[in-house]
Amino acid sequence: MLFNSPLFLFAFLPVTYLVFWRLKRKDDRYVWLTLTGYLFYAAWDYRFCALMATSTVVAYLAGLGLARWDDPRVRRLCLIAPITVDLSLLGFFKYANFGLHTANSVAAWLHVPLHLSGPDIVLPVGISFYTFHTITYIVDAYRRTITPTRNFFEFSCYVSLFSQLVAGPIVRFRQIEQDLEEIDQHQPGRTWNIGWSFFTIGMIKKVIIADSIAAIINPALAGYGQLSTAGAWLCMLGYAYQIYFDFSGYSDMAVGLGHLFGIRIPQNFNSPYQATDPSDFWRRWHISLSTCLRDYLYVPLGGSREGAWHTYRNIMITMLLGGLWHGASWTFVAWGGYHGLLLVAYRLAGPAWDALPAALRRAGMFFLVLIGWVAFRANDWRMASGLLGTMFSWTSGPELAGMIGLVLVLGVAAVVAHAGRNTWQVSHQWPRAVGVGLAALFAVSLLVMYAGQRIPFLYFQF
Amino acid sequence: MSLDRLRPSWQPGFLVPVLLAAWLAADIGLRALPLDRVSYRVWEALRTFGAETPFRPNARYDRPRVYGNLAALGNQPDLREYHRVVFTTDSLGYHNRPDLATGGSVSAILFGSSFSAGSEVSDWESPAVQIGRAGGREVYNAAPSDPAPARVRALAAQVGMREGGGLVIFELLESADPPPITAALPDPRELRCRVILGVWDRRYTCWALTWVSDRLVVSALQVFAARLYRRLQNDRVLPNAAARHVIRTRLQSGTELLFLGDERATYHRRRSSEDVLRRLTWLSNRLALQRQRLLVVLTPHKYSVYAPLLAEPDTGLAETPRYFAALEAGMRARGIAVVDLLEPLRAAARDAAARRGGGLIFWRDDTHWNAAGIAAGARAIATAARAAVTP
Repeated sequence: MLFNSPLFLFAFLPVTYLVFWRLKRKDDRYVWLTLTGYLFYAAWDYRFCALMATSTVVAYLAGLGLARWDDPRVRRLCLIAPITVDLSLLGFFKYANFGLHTANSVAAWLHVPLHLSGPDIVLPVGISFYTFHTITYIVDAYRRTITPTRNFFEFSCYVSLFSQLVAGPIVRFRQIEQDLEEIDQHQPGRTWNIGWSFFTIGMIKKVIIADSIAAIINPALAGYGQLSTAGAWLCMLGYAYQIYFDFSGYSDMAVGLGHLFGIRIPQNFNSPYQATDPSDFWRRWHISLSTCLRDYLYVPLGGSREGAWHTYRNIMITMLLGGLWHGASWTFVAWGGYHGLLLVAYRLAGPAWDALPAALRRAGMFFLVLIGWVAFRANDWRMASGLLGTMFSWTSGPELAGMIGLVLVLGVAAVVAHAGRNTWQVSHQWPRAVGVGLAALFAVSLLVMYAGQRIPFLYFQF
Repeated sequence: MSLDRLRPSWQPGFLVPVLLAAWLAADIGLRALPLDRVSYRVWEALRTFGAETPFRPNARYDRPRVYGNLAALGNQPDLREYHRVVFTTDSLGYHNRPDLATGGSVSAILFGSSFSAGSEVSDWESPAVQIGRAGGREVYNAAPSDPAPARVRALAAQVGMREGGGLVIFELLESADPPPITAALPDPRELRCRVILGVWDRRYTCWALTWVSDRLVVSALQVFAARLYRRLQNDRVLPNAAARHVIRTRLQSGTELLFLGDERATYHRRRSSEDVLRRLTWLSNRLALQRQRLLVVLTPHKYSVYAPLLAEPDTGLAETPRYFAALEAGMRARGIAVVDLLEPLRAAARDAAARRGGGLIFWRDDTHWNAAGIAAGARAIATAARAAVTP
């Protein structure tokens, strides 16, 4: 079920909302949000609800164990066993075929007669997100950063909360623990307007900007071999804005929906295309993932505590795995590695870079990010190298279909992304003209939605 | 939801929920609109999908500016061929003049696809009328439906086709299958509902349930929104994503027209005639038990007819002529009357194209034949029908 679908807007959301606020007891609200979360998930494929339930039960039991036992060996078992289960599930569903395919490719390259074939595995939507939810919970409980909850329904509600279930943000238990604890004390109207404001802006970003760009560049990129140099640059520029407005739009909608139920979901994007350097970019882009990678991978690896070379190594490992998290393909790993190299380079040449004018650093950073999106968007190496080749050598080709629309949408997107304030920098108390404008754009989004142009959120696949 | 949160204001917290409520109300309200207010041609306006009759019974559709399915499917408004359509249905919900169902003068019943039903043509141009005119007999149009023996028997009794005889003309479209080998007739939703409800169906219950379930599928608001959005998909503002469904090309005569992409794929696809022959043999034998004679009409797609006349020659393997030839030979060997329309239609298409202005026997913007194409087909069918009923 998509947030931008009639089923969600006219049936799921009103029913979930009305019943939630009718219920008064804490457990009733936990159970209701859990049920609706599973229903939301089942609308995609009910068979994988069992997978999420398994992950939930395993993490909950681990939390109980960590709350009960102080013996370091037992605690370590409570840490390692459930994480192994979680990562095994993730590994099987997301990376098994990738591993087999890679083994076959390597064997072919070495002229070894090896043809491994695996089952036809369907990637469960959102598995990367809810697996991270449970893993961060277990690690935080192990580190005693949080007190594991004894209430199973509170925990299951946290894992299956529909607003952030399938495409994040990756919300850590401690970030919404207080709101979950006080779920029976929320007043329905307190964050009503801010919730709808976030949701409306998210919808507009997703449907009007991101999906319009997608409608133009997807057919063009499907035939990337025919693109001219200008066309290739326009497509990649379009993709840079598409992925930002798609994912930040989804995050805004998730935040808005959270507000409607009294749950404050943390910020996930902070105008990343206004970043001036690679470190700054990763403090602004997909904040929930970058902070998770920092706290649960980079720091445990040693962070920057053991000298320059170890720091570079840790950065590269973190970013390569971060790339792999996005998808089972070497192009994602390359994208992660590219950003790792940017971070390392910035550590080496930071002072020289920082001496440049801020506008130049912003433009330069955006250019570097845009080049990285080529690997991220490409279906394979051939497409990545083909696109880069077209971008950096003069090639003529036909004009893109939908050029007027693309230029218009890119213009708006560029102003908002590079010079505008983001949804966390505004008060959400709008002047009349802006309020009416937002509602009008929301109506346009509904029209596009009704016209059948419902493109799934990009981050559903990760 | 308590109303204190919905105090009128200019904030999204008031405007957006109110907008959603109004939108939902409009969506539900507009679903009650008659479908001919929403559709661009007769097929969607009168066709019923769950009811007992194929079209709305006793209906008359008269629109001066309808256009073809390919122009709509491929979003090619500049190639629309506007024309008037008068489409009348009888009490049984078929495209016939109203008195035919009760006149008792019918000597043949025509079954088949939307081609036979007379999609896109007016009452006086439909295949049944033109076959009747060419052959000097009354032909009852029972398309779109297939000649399942039980249906033929029931319909023959209803329209008073000659007791213990008559001709069953089955127009078999290139990509269609003959009816399955089974005596059972699949019930439409409305009839299944009647069986389930039994005495509880107080005349209109199942009709109303079918009507409502049809309306759940068709949203006028969605149709309007899609049309509006398609106006932007003009390759300037947005790419025309629908264009891939159709082929826009020219004939050697210079006439520009549209084809369904799938039809070209079918033209090149190798097909086995065995299963079709097996089914038709069974059907012919079952109809013979009812003392009815079967005439199978092999009807090619628009692309198969025009493939030799394209300005840019189609160099792929032409499988349709081979498939039709195998079917025709197989049926003749089994004693089933058959007529292959491929060559008659190709000849008619060549003649029409050679005329000044480059005439067509199919609509330029539609998959179906026009009155000229039907006339060419009807002549061949009438000749075959005469031969079929001659002892």
